[in-house]
Amino acid sequence: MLFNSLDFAIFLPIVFILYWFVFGKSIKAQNILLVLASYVFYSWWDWRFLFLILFSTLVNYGVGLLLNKAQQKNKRKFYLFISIATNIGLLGFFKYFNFFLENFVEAFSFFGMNFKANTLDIILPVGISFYTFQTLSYTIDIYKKKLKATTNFIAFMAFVSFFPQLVAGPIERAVHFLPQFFKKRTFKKDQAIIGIKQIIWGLFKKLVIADSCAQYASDIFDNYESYSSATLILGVVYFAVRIYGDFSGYCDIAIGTARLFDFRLTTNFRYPFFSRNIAEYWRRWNITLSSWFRDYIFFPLGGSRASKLRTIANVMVVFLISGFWHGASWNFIFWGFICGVLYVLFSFKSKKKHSYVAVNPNTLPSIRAFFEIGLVFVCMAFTRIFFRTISLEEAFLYLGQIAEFSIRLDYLGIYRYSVELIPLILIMLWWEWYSRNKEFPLFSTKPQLLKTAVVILFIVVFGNFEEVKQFYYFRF
Amino acid sequence: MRGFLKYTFLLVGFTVVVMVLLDVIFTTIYHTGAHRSKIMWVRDMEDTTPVDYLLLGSSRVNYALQPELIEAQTGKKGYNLGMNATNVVETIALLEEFLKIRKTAAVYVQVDIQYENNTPDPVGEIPWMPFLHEKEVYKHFKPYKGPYPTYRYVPFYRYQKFGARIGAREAISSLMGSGFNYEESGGYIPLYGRLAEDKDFAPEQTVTTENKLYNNLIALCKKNNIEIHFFTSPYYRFKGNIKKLENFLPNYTNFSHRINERRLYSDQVHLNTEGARNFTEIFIKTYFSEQP
Repeated sequence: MLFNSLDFAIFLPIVFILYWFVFGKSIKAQNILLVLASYVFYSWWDWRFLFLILFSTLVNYGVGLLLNKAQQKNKRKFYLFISIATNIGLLGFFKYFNFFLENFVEAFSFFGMNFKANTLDIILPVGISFYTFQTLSYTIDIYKKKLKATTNFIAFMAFVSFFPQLVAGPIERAVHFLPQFFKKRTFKKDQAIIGIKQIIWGLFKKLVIADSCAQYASDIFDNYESYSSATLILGVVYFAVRIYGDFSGYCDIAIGTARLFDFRLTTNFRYPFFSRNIAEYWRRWNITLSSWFRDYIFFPLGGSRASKLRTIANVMVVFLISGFWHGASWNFIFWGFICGVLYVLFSFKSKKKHSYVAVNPNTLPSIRAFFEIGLVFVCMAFTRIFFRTISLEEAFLYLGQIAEFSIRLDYLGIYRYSVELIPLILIMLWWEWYSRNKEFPLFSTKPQLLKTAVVILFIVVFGNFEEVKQFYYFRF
Repeated sequence: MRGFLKYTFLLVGFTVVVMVLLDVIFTTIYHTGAHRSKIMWVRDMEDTTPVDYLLLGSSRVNYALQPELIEAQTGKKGYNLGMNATNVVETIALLEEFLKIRKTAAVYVQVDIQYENNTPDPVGEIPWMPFLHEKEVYKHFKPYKGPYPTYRYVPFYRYQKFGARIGAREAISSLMGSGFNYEESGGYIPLYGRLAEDKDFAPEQTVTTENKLYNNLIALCKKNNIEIHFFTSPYYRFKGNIKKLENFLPNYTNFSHRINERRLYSDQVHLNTEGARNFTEIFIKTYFSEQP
């Protein structure tokens, strides 16, 4: 079920009413309802993969209990290994099997050993990369004794499958999220109003910005051979904005929905387009994934406490894994590599600067800061070429075409708002700029009816309702 | 909870009111604004004098025949009412709209490999959406499967669903007076460019069964005392099968192989401006040759 579909617009109020008015008196009943609702939500896409979620839930729940009991280090390591092997095994099979197979065949043929291996027609289960990381953090944290395993299976099921963030995050840590399934929930009007406004803001970013940018970005990327450099650069900008609008829009809807049920999810985007250097950008973009990699890969590798060279190596490992996490192909790995290189370059070049997200929202950036923000945007937008194209070769061809420096702007009137879209993007950025000390632009406990009404008006008039477009990160 | 529900209902209510108001505004614009489609042009015609002929059909009429040239060579006055992606359903609807205002002595309807399509076209139907609230228009779409009741009764939904074609951009353009001057060219729209690839056009689609909806078109013409002709516009290196059209349709002429020069095509199914001039001359010789 998609957040931007009519199905969800019907589903959400039903679950909301049942949750507060029918099951409101018992935490256990509310958790059962959340599990059922989450499984219905997921089965809208493909019910067969519910067994996968259930399997993952059972294994990690069991490993958690075993880790709780085990005292010997070897035993604990063994149990952790089971959890990691199961989670990574599932991810490996469904996401990476064909990639590894194809590359092994190619590698062997390079050495003159030719053999045939048929790839499997594997469907990637939606959300597997997200809930796998979430359950992994649960067992790792128990292993590290940061958390005690839960004995409440229903609560654990709800933690794994919580529908607002099941398919594309934010990736929650058990330490922060699991306890919320045990505490009594009380309906808080202020939080619920914030939730509704966050859903509206998320829909604005998805329907008005991301889906409109997607049409142009797709057209330009899919037919890049016939477009000029200027148009290809426009395609890069549209894709960068599309990814942001789509994913952060999804997260806003997820967080807003969770608020309606008195749950707090972690903020996943904190105005990344206003970052003044790459490191800051990664602290503001997909925060829960970045921090997952930081805590479970970067720090165990030694983090930045070791030598400069070792730190660089650690950074590169994290970014390469991050690239591979996004997709099983070389262009994603290369994307991770480029991001790593940029991160290292900016980290060593730049001195500590105050963040423009944190300062008084009513100020404009200095000219220097404006250029720094622009530079970060350009760098990150261009890395997205490797993210969007279907192969490494195509990404370089796209870049090669840009390097021809033809400045004619092609006619893109086949869809709507070709140039009119730019003011819409600027309106969104302008609004975010002046709201950057808030969680999201409409954040306030006051009803703020006028602002919310303006956003609704934008959605109604400029929203893309031609088809219900999937969220981009569902493919990961 | 009560406060929250009140707030939510307020937002929902606001959304509904906005949608109703926008529907009224957009629909008014499409009824009175600058012409963004031939439907708007036809509905807005002030001159009620009868015409000699109408050219009806899809883009293969729209870009193919020049009424100005016909008038210059034969003195006959008529219009090219071809609209992109139009099927017979929309053709009938447009002819009815025209007949509400003016009369015509003859109609020339383009038919081709799309002949068997007997439902509204998903693209061709879009310019009709602003007028769907009218009974006379709705009756053409009502019999077919599709969310037509939703388009008709949910305010503003049709403008959202087809945002690219009749959404804010189009409505604002119409409001600002930026329309097409169809009257000047008699409805002909020029298509530029030249076909690059020299290869056969061999569509899988063939004509095998009769499309009964054409009988409705023929009956409509008979009722209004209009002479009806069917024809197929030229294709470049056409290898398709449309032989049965001559069995299914009266007064049918096949021009599909009449223009063979690649430079006269914009793509394999559409003539460019030069090709259109060429084809119009062939058309004149075929249908209006007895005239000076």
